[in-house]
Amino acid sequence: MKNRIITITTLVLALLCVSCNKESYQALNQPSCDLDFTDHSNQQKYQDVLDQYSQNGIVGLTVIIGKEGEEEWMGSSGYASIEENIKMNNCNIHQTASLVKSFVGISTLQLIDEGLLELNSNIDQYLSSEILDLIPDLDNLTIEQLLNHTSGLEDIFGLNFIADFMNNPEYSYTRKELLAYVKNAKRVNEPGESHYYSDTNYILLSFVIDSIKGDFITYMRENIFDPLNLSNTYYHNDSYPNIDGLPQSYWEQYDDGNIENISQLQKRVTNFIKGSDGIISSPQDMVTFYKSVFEGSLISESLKEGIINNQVDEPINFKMNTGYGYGFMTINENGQTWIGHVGSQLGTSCYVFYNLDTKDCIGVFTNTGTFLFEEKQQLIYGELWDALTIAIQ
Amino acid sequence: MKYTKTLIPILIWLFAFSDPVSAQHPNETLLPVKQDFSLAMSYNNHSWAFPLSSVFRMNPQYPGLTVGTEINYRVRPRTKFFQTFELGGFINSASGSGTYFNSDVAFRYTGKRGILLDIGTGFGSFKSYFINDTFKIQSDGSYLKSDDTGVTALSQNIFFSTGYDLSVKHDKNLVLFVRYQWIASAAYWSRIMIRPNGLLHIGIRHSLRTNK
Repeated sequence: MKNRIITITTLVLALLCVSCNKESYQALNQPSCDLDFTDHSNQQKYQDVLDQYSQNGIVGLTVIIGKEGEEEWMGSSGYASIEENIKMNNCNIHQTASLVKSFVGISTLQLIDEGLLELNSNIDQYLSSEILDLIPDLDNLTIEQLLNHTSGLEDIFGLNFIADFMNNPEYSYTRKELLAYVKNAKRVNEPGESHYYSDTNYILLSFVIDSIKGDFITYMRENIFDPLNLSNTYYHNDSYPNIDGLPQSYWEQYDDGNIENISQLQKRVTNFIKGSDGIISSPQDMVTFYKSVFEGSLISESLKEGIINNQVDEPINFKMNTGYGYGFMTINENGQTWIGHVGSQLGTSCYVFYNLDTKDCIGVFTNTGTFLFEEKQQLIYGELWDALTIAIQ
Repeated sequence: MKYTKTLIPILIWLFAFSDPVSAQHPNETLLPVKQDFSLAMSYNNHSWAFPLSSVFRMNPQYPGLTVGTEINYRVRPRTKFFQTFELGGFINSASGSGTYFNSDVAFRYTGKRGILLDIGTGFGSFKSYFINDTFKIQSDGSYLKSDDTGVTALSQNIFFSTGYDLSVKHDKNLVLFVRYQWIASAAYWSRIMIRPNGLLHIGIRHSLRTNK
């Protein structure tokens, strides 16, 4: 008996060593940077805001402020890599999470401009039988309902997905495998009834574009990235997602001041969520895109007005999503309308908003996660936003 | 607010546990309950999971060990009402390692052939460790590496076991068991509120004295 217990104990202790290693991170190849805005007339005022927040919960951030009648300002604060003691600078690129939804939205609207798609087209004609079998009753949904998150489809990133991901974070999912997470999910609401933000909608839209143009990523590159010369924007090309200048990603799990590097985890998520997440880009490229949507010629004037006028109400009243239309969120405050999108992930958070009334633009890019953490959401989407909008007045 | 969810089950547990002697048969109240002085040890596989999900997830393995003992409150030929005390931990490089101390009120039924079934619930203390190195910001804005001393929180537990008592048919003082245990720790991400832990144990229990 004694020998058996010793043998079993030895085996168990050996097994315990299997999962001992903490995950390492890839060293940051920090680019030299000559984007210097320190002679800007509001440098001190804007920089003070950034420094305040990098001292109070945001590891590192870069902010662009484009104020009408004023030269654009860009500044950074905090750390791109705590471990390597590297400060964030204006040339760091960022994982922009859900900002890709605006790109997919514009790509879809471009197909409508080309006459290849209509807002009220039923989506089933563009989806393979495999996907139609995967999610029942897709035949009663329209392109517009996907664009506005009014399909009633449940989000793939529910507890089932989080559990599987937390148990096996090295697994790389295909889009179809992600859609399988809503296979048996009940509809949140009837199609067209109300807005429910769900990544499922935009993954399905990526399949719709695939069916018309072959590959939604190539289509986005040829019709948005290239015409706008977004040369520091990466989406499943080059060495993506291991791009030089990409800061480490951090989260604060317990809201206790302990910051953890979760770069490897974050990069895996960025890599496998196609259609609703994943663009890595410079702050300048992202701001260029959002301004171009409303000031340029990416889409027709009627569809621009559609984005602005066909906003559906966001029932949860999330500060940065009081309305949603065709891949764009709106903030209505102080009698003004800001339009753009937020990105929220495990180890990255960002937003870009363009003021339809004043043509001001604010872009915020951080390497601090908000997806699971309401305290950080309040800090970055609430308090920092308020501080920036006050600063530019 | 963080601990409210835990407090209510604790009060329910304390109520159920408050007077085990008076819950016994009137003829047994004055008789001392024999203690087994048992020692249980189990190997477990941890999952980040809600109750009864990922029960048999085997890959990848996040291994752990648990040791425990029991105090009897009422012992009858086929049933037993008892309290467990257990100490354990697991190593999980994906969602974070953990250690725990639990105490559950439990009921056991042992069949004629030695097959036994347990069910129990209780509370404890659960300490979560970080996945990676942690840093804390200093007053000058720089970061300093912090020690991973873990985050301790109240936890709720439920468990179900089945096993085989070799003393019934084979006259060997050993019980082999398989146990599913779910532990919810109160401190975690604000979006989910609790850290959910599913543990599948396989273990043995040996008693220094049997209740025969």
